[in-house]
Amino acid sequence: MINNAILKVLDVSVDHGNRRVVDSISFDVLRNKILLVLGHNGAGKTTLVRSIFGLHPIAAGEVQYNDKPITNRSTEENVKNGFSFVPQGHGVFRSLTVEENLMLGTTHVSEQKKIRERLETVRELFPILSERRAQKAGTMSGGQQQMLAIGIALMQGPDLLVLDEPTIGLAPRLVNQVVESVVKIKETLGLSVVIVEQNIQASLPVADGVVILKTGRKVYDGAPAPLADHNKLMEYF
Amino acid sequence: MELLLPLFLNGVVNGAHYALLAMGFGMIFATTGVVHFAYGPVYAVAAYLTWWSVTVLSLPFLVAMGVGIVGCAVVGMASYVLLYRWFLRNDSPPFIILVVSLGLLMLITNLIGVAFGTNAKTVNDVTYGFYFIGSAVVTGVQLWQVLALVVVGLGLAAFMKWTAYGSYIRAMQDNMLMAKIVGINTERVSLVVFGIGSGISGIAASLILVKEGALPHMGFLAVFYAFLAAVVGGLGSLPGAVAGGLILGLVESLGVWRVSSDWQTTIAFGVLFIVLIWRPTGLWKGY
Repeated sequence: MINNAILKVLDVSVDHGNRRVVDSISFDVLRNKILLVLGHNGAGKTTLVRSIFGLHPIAAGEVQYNDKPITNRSTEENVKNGFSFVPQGHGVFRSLTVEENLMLGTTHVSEQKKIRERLETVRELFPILSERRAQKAGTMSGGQQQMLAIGIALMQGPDLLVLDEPTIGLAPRLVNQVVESVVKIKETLGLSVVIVEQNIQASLPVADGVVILKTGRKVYDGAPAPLADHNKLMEYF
Repeated sequence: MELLLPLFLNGVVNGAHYALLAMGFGMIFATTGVVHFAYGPVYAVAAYLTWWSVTVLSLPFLVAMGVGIVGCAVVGMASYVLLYRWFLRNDSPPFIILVVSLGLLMLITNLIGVAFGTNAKTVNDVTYGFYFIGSAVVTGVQLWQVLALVVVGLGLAAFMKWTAYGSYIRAMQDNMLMAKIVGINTERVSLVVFGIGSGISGIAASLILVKEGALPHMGFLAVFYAFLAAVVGGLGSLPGAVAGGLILGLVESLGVWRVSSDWQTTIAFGVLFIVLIWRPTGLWKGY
């Protein structure tokens, strides 16, 4: 039987000091699908995805990537194995140029051919990055920085891409642009994507599955369709 | 007026020394976040190893200098692996790491005293020339100090700009979290930074050994000036370290034209206050 899950989160709990902020959460991320993780501020979404990626220790439970345990594995190992993460708030190196930022995404890639191909893909997806390649990342607009942050992750050649609130702080027009880019990336590169969001309106229509967290616990895990009903959705917040 | 030229040249030479120290100290702080006050005694270790290699092993000075540089780079790296890394992994607050570094400063300083005694160590077999620049006399060692700043400064700039590790260091200085997210092994890079930063102090230490000799407490003043120059120039900035070191050296040296040399340290702090009021993050930003 072929297992269709690229990432399995099994009863994962995370603590901040003595306080449990993520409590026994389980879900699967299916291949070539977009999973949306929703929840109000402080629900534990960011802590959960950061812990899965190796930025924060997991107190209990297990994470499996391609059926292999990766619980508390280093971010370096995750990146090497095709698991990339785009943090909240424009994850770029502000004092470095766009080109230098993108090249830092190839820390573990030695083949020049691969680097050229990935650079070409990123430039096709985000032509603005090509135009601004000598510009310092910190001088670009919020939307452009977000595109660069996604571009850095794509340079790593991921199979699984986790984006933590990619539309936070962006103008409505840019929100749609970023969400459309993510869908395009999923379709053209065949990636599996996890989007952590508070902007339900923009992200729900593109999701294949939804997980909702409330004060560190999972309160919904299923299809996005039932949540199109606003009243139903609000039951989980 | 005839005093001005010698004072100016002396300021440039002392400034070159401070700038070298600031480069290594600032690089370690900006990359790892560690205010490495033990940088001072690590610098002293290089002077003592160079002295020991020259006088006990009878090695040529340049080889002995290499021993000193490598030795202090190893001590610097060991301080990261055996001490700082544990506190950084456990997200210890910066003031805890500061206290740890002060403790390490005392420990290494006392160990040097126990191992080598507290009397001054000098190397007398190293010969160097004297040169006249106008009415001023400059020694060969002083020229080496300035040359060391130029060579190390250019070498470090090229390393930071053109090598993979240079880009990792710049990335960590910019955004440590993102550096981890893109898969940079930040602990390995920190180790390299402690090695390079400490090695740079070893160059300055070996030259000061020839000029002034070595004492167990020589690191106190060295790390103090490294800190001042790095803060004035902008922590972690290479041009800033050079500018900060030279400004300190020149102001301190030219200051004694009119006031007693007892005021040198006060003048250095005065410069720090003025610069930080004017530009709170120092004169320079970035490489």
